[in-house]
Amino acid sequence: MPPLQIQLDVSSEVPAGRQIVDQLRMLVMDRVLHPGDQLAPVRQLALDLGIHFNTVAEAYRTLAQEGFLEIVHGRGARVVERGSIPAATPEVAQDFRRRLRELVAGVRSQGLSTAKVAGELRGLAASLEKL
Amino acid sequence: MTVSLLYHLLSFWFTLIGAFAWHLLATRKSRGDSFFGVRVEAGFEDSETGSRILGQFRMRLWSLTALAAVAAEFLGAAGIGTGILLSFLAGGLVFAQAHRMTLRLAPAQPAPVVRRASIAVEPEESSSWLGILDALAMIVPPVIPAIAVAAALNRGSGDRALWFFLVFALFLGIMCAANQWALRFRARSTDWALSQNDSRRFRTYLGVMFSLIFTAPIGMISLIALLPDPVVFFATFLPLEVLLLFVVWRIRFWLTKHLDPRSIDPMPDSCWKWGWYYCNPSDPALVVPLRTGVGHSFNCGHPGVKAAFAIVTTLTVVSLAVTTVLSSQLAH
Repeated sequence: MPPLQIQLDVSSEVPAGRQIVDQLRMLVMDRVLHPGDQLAPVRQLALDLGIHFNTVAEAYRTLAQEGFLEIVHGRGARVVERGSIPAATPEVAQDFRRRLRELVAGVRSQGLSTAKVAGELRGLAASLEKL
Repeated sequence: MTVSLLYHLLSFWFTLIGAFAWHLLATRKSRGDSFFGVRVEAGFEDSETGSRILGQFRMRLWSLTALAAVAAEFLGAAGIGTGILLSFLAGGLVFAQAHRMTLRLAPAQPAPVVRRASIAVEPEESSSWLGILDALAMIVPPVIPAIAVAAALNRGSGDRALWFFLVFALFLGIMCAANQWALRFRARSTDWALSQNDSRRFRTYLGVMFSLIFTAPIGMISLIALLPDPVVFFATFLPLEVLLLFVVWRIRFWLTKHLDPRSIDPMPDSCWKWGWYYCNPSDPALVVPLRTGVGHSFNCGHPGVKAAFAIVTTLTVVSLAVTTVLSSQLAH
């Protein structure tokens, strides 16, 4: 998938708005989208994905509340530099560990080998260290 | 005598236009791997089954059109309108038949479950002329009948049939403008071409082509108002019509050449009714490119499109009915 595209899985149980939020957040956190980058207008993105305008608008608003985007009426949405992020609480780390283990168990139960999972996690760790 | 002959020729020609349009629509060059609006496996159109479906479609289309053209010749003043209507209706029915045959005979291909969209804004090429074309296609079609209305008002014309025709032409012009607006602002960019700039250019030219096609009847009706003498009317209209057809042919040639066979709408086949009109209430797009040939369909499931069609149909039926009644009364 080209880096500046997002994809919507219409067969997924995850709601369309949530899929958009997750992918845009990932693109910003991975520095694929940089502060100042202009995003596609709500209407165009909704048309291209074949979903309601309000779904995309809500996704943009969620990201704006999280501090990733700035929405200016009439000028669309753009990526902004997030301010200082407060240190995560122990509960956040614990929740992350739990979700990661659940995810790994899930893909192993679908037949992905332990070596492949370990390789993916090492790759992810290496890319995180570069950030 | 000459006027009568010209009238019959015009009636015959307009009836054939409907069949030409359907014939060109059922070209082998389709979006994605699709055939008569159905996703098929690659190369199906060249297979024995595909060729048989296409052959049957063409044979039935031209047979029915020939019948429609002959019927139109016996209908006098109502011949042109009836001929066009019959030929388009026949084409639509035959196309639907080919669509059903393809659904039955071609191995089913699933719609993609993943839809993709560009999150970045593609910088627009220096294309101010595209904006000018968009504006012209939105302004000219309603302005021509508006001028004719002003001329008829100025002359104090009491011909009620003419007035109804002018109102109809004005409405057709407004619909042309709405069509161009929808193509410019309410269409999915990924359905038409793989890049946003190519998509924009394709949609503008497509809208301009349709505006020109509809400008022909609009212009004809308007000229009747401006030039009541039939000889002057034919002398003016026919050369204009030939010029217009040449321009339309050139634009269509460009569109066929630049139709990107890799681009196709991401929706399931069930959204395409009869293979040529699109109906998907959950899709915000107002217009979608036809899967086969050069053209587009309004999204008939969209509430805005439903309302527009209801208004157009009502006005068309009312204006045609009143005109027919008035014409018959005048004949008596």
